[in-house]
Amino acid sequence: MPQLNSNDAGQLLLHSQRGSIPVRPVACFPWSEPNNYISLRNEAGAEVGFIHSAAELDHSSRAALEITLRQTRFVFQVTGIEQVEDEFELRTWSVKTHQGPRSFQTKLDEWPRKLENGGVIIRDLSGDLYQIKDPTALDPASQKLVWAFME
Amino acid sequence: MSDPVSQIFDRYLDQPPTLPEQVRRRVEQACQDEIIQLYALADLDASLRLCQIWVTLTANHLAVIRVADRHLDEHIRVISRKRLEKIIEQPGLSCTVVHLLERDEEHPFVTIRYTHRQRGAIGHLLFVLDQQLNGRTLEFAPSDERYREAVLRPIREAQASVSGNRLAIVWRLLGYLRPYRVQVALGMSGAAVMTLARLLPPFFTGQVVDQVIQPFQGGTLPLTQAWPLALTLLGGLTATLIFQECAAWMRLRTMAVLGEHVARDLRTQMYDHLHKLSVSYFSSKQTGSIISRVGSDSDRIWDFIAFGVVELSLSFLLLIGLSAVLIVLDWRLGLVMTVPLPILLVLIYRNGRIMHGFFLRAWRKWSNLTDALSDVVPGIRVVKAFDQAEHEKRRFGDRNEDFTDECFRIHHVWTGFWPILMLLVHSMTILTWVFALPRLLAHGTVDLSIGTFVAFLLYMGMFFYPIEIIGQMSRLLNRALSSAHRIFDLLDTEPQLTERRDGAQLEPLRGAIEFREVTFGYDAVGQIIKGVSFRIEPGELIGLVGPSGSGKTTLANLLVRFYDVTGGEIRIDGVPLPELALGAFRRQVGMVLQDPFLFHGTIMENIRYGVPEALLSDVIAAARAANAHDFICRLASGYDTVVGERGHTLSGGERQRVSIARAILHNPRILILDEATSSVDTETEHQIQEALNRLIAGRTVVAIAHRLSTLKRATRLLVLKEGRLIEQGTHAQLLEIPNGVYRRLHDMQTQLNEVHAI
Repeated sequence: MPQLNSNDAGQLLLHSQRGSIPVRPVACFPWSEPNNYISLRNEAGAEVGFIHSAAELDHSSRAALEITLRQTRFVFQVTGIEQVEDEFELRTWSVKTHQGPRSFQTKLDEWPRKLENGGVIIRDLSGDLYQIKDPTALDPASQKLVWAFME
Repeated sequence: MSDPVSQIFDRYLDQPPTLPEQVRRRVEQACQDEIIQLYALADLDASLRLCQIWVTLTANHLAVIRVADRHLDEHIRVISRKRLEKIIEQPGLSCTVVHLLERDEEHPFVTIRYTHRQRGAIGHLLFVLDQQLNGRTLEFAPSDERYREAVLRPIREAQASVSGNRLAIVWRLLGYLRPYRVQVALGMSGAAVMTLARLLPPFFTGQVVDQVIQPFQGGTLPLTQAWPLALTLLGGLTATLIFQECAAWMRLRTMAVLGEHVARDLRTQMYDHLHKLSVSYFSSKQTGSIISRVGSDSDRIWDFIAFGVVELSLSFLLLIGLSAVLIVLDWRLGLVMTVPLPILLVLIYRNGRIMHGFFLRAWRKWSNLTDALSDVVPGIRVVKAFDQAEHEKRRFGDRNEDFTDECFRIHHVWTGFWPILMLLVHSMTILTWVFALPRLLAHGTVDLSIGTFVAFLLYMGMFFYPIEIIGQMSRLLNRALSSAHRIFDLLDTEPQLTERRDGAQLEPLRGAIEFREVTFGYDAVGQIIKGVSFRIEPGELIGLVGPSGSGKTTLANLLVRFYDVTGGEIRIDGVPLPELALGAFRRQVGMVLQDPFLFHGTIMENIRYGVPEALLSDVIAAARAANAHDFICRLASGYDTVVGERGHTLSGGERQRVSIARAILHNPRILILDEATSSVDTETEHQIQEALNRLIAGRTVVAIAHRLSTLKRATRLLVLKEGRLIEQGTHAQLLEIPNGVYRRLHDMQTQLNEVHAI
């Protein structure tokens, strides 16, 4: 079972008999199985460990992994929609997120992607991701604005 | 704050268009008055909330400072760049974390977190630091442009001339009508006359009733007077109708032709402009998108100018004319008709807004459906091999069902709306009756004549058409404007290469090439060529060698000036490349590419492409030298065989030889040769090799070499790895280097060849 902790630099370290090396966790299924099937990569990008399930780790390793994963799987969590406006080639979304208010652009024919757990993911022009965990839980005004993009 | 770029920042991005002045002052003060060369925004804090943290770079320092609620944090972190030891980058789904580690310290100097939106600007900064760690110092004049360019890049790529100003686009489009002022005046006046003439027939009808029929039947007008009067009115009606249709003819004809003129002008302008654009434009845009701009977008503009502009302005003219006539005829009835008009228009507009949402949904479902198709059709072998036809049928069926449901909704809404709207229009008729009848049936003085009433009813029927057109106005306008926008977007793209008008005409070239410390990257972040220097003497055969992705093709592209270098310079015969006249230079450079492109046309035309005036006997001589003559003669139509798209299909080896013949006839002083990696049979290989040997004789040749025979014959080989020139020398010399890159590549190649031989 891999032993992990993080150093002061905020790097995740993998311990083995040969010493500690910094690793980067890569979730194989960031959307469908965020806490399981995690590949540990060294600085050269080669796989040096694999975690089938975070549950199999000891407490401190799991905590260390969780801190790093929180950053790598970070996406904006949309809590409300202020405006959706179409222009030439671009659609501008003004949204409220857990992280603060944000506006972003998508192409007109770039549609939100439906996730299996019912949420949707919107990808903006620069590649940032915006998740609406439960579109039906949005306030009515927001729901009305995104109605055309939901199921 | 009102320059166009700042406006785009204001409009689309939640971040300042430049480094705030107070931050600049504070940083420069903290960095011993050094000037900030580069800066970028890190927009996430430690708890991953949006924030404003500026990362700045001066000649010797790196400083990080946070702005909260427009106020600077007291704390600013400054580090000497010399102490920087390591950069650790941890990319994530939407957040990248970068640790900058200080020398001799366990603790990171600083950790920055940012979204992908800042990736370009921060990437540039990290590249400079990375270069510094590798012992190369890059200096920059202070400028806001790098930051602005990097942040705006994704938006600009989606929409080059970012401009939400619709009015400006309409004006610019109408500007294309300027050369055709006379026709526009003719067409528009024809249209106006036609519209106004349409208002006359009901008036004549009313007059016949009031002035002729009623007085005659009431006995006040004798037959002898009634007839001439009736005939005069009939004549008037006939003349009006003929006049109206003449005007209609003039309008349709003038405007349709005019639209074609404008569309043609736009197409020519776009096509000419396309040829001015650099290769980079074509690699950044999809071919289909460029084609549709020149094709269907210009067609839509024709539609808009020929019909849209006129229909729209006439509809307004007709509505206003109708209202005016009605109010003049009888103001009370006139008001009954005109007051509800705005309500109708608002209703139509609102309905359009609602329908927009429905259409979006339908569009989304439709692209789901076509995605399923475009997935499966090219992948049909996989579907069959895995026996997934049933699954695919179900998937398509579900999406088809989804789309159809959406269409049902749309039909449900519009079929409900139009009858209601029509009922409203009809209720105006009923209102007219309701208001008119008591006045018609009143005793004593009748203040409403039957003729006026009849004319009113006829005018009623004319209301509907303009209302319908105006209802479609936003759709019409949107279509035309987005087409116009795409067209102007292309026309506004500046060519990245600037050609000097008074460029040096070196003819003939000697063919000496020199690279001095050349660096190049396709974008600000990644450098593909990193400080490459070498000299090539006229007549040398140089082999470029290296693993894939090492920059060989990029180097060749720089040599023919498809792109300009970002640092250092390239000299041809001692003259810097940008100072050469591009046309004269390229005329003397030839390229034979891995996968040669043949145009649709005959083999003869393809061989003559660079020298259209070449004699047929020269064409044959070139084909002979390229070992192509024999196979061409075996084709039924010989040199007249049509090849290229939709033409006769040549094999890879045959196309290669035609392209060698094209290069031989072109007779370049400098030849760039990208050898094919794909293996052809030994006989073809031999023939191509022979052809190449004849082609390269007496020229400066830069070959991206894979064949052992080329490698052995080359005067020198340049070995590239990750954008750097790491080894050079002859084949034999390079094999001598123990653990050399070339030696390893060569060994692997030899092993592979042995495998092939087995």
